[in-house]
Amino acid sequence: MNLPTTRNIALATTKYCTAIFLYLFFSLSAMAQSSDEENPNISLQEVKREFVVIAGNSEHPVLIKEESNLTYYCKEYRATVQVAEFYNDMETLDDVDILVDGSKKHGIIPKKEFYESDGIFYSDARVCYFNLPLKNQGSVSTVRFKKTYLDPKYFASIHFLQPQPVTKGEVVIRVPSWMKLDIKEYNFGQYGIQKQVSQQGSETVYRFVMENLPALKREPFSPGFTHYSPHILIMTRYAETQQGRQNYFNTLNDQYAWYHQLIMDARNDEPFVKEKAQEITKGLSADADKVRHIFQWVQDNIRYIAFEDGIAGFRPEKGSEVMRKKYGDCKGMANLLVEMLQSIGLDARHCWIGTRHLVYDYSTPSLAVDNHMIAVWMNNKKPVYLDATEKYIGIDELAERIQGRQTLIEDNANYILDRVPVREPGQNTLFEKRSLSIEGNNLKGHVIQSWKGENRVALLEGINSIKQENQNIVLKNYLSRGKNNFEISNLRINNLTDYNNELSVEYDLNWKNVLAAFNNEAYLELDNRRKFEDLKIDTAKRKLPYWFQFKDHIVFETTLRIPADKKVTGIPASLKIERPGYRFSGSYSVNDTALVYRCEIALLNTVLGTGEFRQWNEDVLQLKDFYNQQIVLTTRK
Amino acid sequence: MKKMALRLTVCLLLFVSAIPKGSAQSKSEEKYRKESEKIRNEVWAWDKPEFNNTAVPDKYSNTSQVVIAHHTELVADSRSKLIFYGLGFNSEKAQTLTEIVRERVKVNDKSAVEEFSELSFTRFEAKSGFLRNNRSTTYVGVRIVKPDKSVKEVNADDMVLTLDSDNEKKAKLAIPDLLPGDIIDYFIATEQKMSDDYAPKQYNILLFDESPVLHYSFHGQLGKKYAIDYRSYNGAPDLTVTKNKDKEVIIDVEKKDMPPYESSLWISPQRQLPLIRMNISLGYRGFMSDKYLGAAKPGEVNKDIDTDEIVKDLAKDYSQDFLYRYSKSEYDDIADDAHKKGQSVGLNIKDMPEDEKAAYLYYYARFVRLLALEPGNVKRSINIGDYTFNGFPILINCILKGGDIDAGIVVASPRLGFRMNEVLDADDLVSAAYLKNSKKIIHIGSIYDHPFMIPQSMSGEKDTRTMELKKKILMLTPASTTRLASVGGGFALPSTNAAQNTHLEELKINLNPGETKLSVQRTATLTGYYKHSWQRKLILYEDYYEQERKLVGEKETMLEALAGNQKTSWMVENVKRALADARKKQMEECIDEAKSWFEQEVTDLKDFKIESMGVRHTDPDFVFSESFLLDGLVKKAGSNIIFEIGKIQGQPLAIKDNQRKREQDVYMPYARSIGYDLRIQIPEGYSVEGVDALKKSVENETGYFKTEARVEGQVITVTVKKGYFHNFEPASNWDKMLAFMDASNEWENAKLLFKKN
Repeated sequence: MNLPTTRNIALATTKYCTAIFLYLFFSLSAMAQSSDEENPNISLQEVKREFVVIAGNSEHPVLIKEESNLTYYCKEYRATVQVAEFYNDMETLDDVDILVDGSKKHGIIPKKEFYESDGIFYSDARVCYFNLPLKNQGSVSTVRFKKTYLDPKYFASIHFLQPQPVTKGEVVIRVPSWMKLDIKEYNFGQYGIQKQVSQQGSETVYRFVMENLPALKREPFSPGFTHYSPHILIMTRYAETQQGRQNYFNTLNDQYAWYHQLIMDARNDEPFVKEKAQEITKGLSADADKVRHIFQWVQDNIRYIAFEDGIAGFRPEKGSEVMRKKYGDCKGMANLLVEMLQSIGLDARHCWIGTRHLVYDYSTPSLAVDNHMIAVWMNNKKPVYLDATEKYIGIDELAERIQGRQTLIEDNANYILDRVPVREPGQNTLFEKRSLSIEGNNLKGHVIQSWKGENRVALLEGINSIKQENQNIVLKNYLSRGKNNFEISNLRINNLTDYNNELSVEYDLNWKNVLAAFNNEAYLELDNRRKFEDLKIDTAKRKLPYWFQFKDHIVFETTLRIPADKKVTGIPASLKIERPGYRFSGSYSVNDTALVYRCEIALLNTVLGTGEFRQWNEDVLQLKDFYNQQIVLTTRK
Repeated sequence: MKKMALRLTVCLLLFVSAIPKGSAQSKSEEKYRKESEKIRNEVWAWDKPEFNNTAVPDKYSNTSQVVIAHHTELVADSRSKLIFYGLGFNSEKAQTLTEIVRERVKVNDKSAVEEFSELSFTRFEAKSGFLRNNRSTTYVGVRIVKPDKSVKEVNADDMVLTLDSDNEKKAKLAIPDLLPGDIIDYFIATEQKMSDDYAPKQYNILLFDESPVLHYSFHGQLGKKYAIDYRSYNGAPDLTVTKNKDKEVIIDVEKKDMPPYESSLWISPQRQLPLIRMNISLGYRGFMSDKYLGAAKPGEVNKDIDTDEIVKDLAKDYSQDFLYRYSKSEYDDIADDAHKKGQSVGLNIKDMPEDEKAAYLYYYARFVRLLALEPGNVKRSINIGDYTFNGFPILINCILKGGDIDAGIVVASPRLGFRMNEVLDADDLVSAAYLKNSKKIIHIGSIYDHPFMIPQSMSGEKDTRTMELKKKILMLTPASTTRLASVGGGFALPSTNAAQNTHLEELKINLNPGETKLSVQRTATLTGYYKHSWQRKLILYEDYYEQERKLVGEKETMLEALAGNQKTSWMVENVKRALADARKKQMEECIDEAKSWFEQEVTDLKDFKIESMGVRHTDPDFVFSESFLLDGLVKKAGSNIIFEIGKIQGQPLAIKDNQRKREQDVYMPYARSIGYDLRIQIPEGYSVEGVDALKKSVENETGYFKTEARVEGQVITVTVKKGYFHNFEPASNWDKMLAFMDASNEWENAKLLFKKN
């Protein structure tokens, strides 16, 4: 079952390998699946959620009991809302109570299933779901969920938005004096959420009151919703219980210690890991070469399959197991990489990181703040980041999703806080150079194209997902954009296997019927790529910032030899747009024998804020206008 | 992308679980594990040399994956096979069909490794020969053969559960240590209960695959209680069917060196690809068995059943259904009610000619039975256009007979389905009511159909049969029910031509110098089989209902009828809002339709109007009009303008290099034509060049692409026409088809220059 929850979107947009993220979104609870767009006449008249910290038993000394009551209201006409609640091994679903117009006689039987999501092969995530009818205008149906969190570490956040607008909402957290936790607020600003803190006996009561909240907005290419959704991060520090002091994450030290213990448990000393590392690096002397070869071996030979079953969502698989099975998740791959590098005497470490989809960093110790593990090679004490889940990325390249992010690097009993470097768009250059001449109404010549960085990664992902016997055909189709008049011959692909160098293709081109001849004039458009011309943002609909996948950099050059019987009598005016976040430029130049066209697009920043939309649209329009201009060739008399 | 499939379902007696490590095992789990191990040992021990093969011919060395061997065992209550497998499956009490599918596949690239890296459900469903399956238990086995020929067995009990309910479980398995160059050897075994289930189970053997198959084999062994009908198609080898000393039915077929099949454009798998079909059923000797219930006898084996036998089986089904329905007399009521309503609008249906009367009854029945609002299901009613129906031959028969019209049923095989002389069961057939005197067809495939339309699936079919359903019998006995229907020879159904299935665009185009968007006034006319998807997208239920209400003589509007009934009056506001919602969405549908047809950005769409819904035989064309701004076709050259007029047809079908050689006949949905009548206003202060160069003409016996252009004053008139004459072409005509399709594709580059004076 594929539920369009905020979880789904988050999971789909990142390669998560730990259950941390799953737990984060489990605490969202009771997120009905029908969005405001689907059922505009359904609202949540009232949402009341209470979380109470209580003493547990010897197995689970501290429990958090949740009771959530949601009252759905039908504004206009009969509809059905799909309601779902997630749970798992650490977060039990104890009871579900449903009333339809005040009656229990509704015949609804909630279904309970494993929850499958893209990117996770298997997890202990489960979902309870059912269709809730609202029969008439004015109908009210209520749902009550009761849950228990078995370990406060996993009680990491509470989000306030729902798929439907909320008329009145309240979230209450009752914390006994023996429990130490802190709460941090995010994105409250525009929503008018009121916080009240009071003492009731020995309990501290946190009350969050809200009115007229809009429905949770979901848009493609938007930030992870921790960036914009109002919520609280709950940092459980420690608890003084009958079973003694229970330490959670009082400081980052505690969080690191817990992580470190998990990786220590996953150590092994299997000789075949070292043998393999030695085999791969045989004959290599420079450390950097050794690291490069081992890194690529892991990229090429270990498939990403994530098992996130309870504690398995946090503890990495032993490197030897990952090597034996030839699959693993980010933790397993990182662990294997570290073990292989260490086995040949290199200083390799484990490194935890939260990808850009998360708003947090390690200043707020919590399971919610990170969602990924990579390896680090300390090259003369300088960390070189190695993310083996990024297939086809070179050792000197970094994926956008981890650039600039804070890292927690293993340093025995201690840790190092660092930050992944930010790369320039030049890391991802896509370059195309055409050398063409005119034959009748056709252009003929030779083309070279090259891909670097994340552009190369995207192309290789596409090529390797195709059966090898079809790769040439599919690649030709991609290069020609499916146009039959863009005839490609003698296609050569250079370098499909060394991810540390650019991938390039070369081919001969016969581009037919491109010149439009009218009497003694001919009109020509050289740029059939026309990158970015369709990226206008619908400001009437879009409310969230736009996130580009990576800092794209595209350079397109064409040299056109002008035959002796023709001269260029009209070229479009140049284009030059420079903004803090992006650059568009295009130009034509002419000499006696050739016309040279150059177009360059660079994204300097992958985030386009809502305040920038208007300017962006104007600039895209200018770019499109530039593309629409024709070259004019006149026949010499 | 295909994935290997596995599905575990469990009956109440057996319990399957992926055992999380460290948890206790129940007795039934223990039993499952033992059985699982047993069957693995048995299957790996098969004495089949093809499953020891590791070599692949050089010609396939660059192929993503090569199926070295594929074998299916289908076993049903076979005494010897039960002993052979040594498994209970509880089969000593229950009758079951057991299917074991084993494949040995060489994976040569990353995409193949990815495909086989997980066992999940869909692969099994793709590999199983059953169309529908009540699986109860499934077992799997997986081995990896390395290039050095070492063999590693995957621990199949490492499966993980993804559905865990009392009577159904689903699981999947990640395959370890699989790399390009390895061979994966796996099997999936499943059982299906047959107790007291006499319905035939259809089983197909497909002798084509996207990957080359070096050795394909099938072995079936059915207990003596079973019966089988079978047929081979399109050059597939015959099954070898024999009986052993226990009177069990033994079925075998083998094929070697199957080249990879690349799916192509305009193919009918049923008529062109090699396959074998079987219907397997439990025989029945009881009361009213084969004569009355159509049940097969135990041990019955039928090769290539005669079509007429199958049509008779269909007739039996129809007759029982007809009797049941007709005995209700409700159809007499429909006819009477239609008569009264007709009179209220000045029509006397009793005096109408037969065809007209039939049409009137059709429209009335369509209105009261399909268009009428279902108070309990407003959503369904509003979206009734999305539903397709089987033609309602019985219903229509009933209604026509209620109106004293002599009607029958014509039966054919669908033109893209199995040939009429190759059908295996009644599900292969399609049928429609018809007027016996005029042989006109009366069929409801969708709410937009009208009388005398030949369903697309039956168009041009020559080999048909007819049935007559008797209205009454003297005494209802098992024997007499079989005489309710009589089957006779059929008649050739006419085919439609390109002119009957058209999409015509009449566009008035204005260019605004300085802008890149065209102002377009559009009138679109769709006829014949072209109409349906546009009608579905653009016609509002509320408007359709209202039009028909008046025509059939229904006085009250929908909302008035609801308000006037105590039981439904509470719904009025609900329905009003639902209709308003649908109307609001219609504008989005219009914009979507225009964008998708012209394949360019469309803005400022207004004045949308449906001129004719095309839902009546007297006015069968679907016509609508609107205006909008169209982007993407105008380029600038200084002060001059280039109009890329060729793109007005969107992206015509482009035949790829690997599709240009064709050995298979061409089965298209229907003969059809597309046309554009353009009237382009020359902007003031501009002259036009390039009009003559727009002219093109390619025509042959398969179709045409023709353009004409001329200037008349300040208006350029351009007509673009493309047509496919037939719904079928032999492969030898493919080059002729390419000629006009390529011409259409090349014309995409056509341009006009508007030069500033």
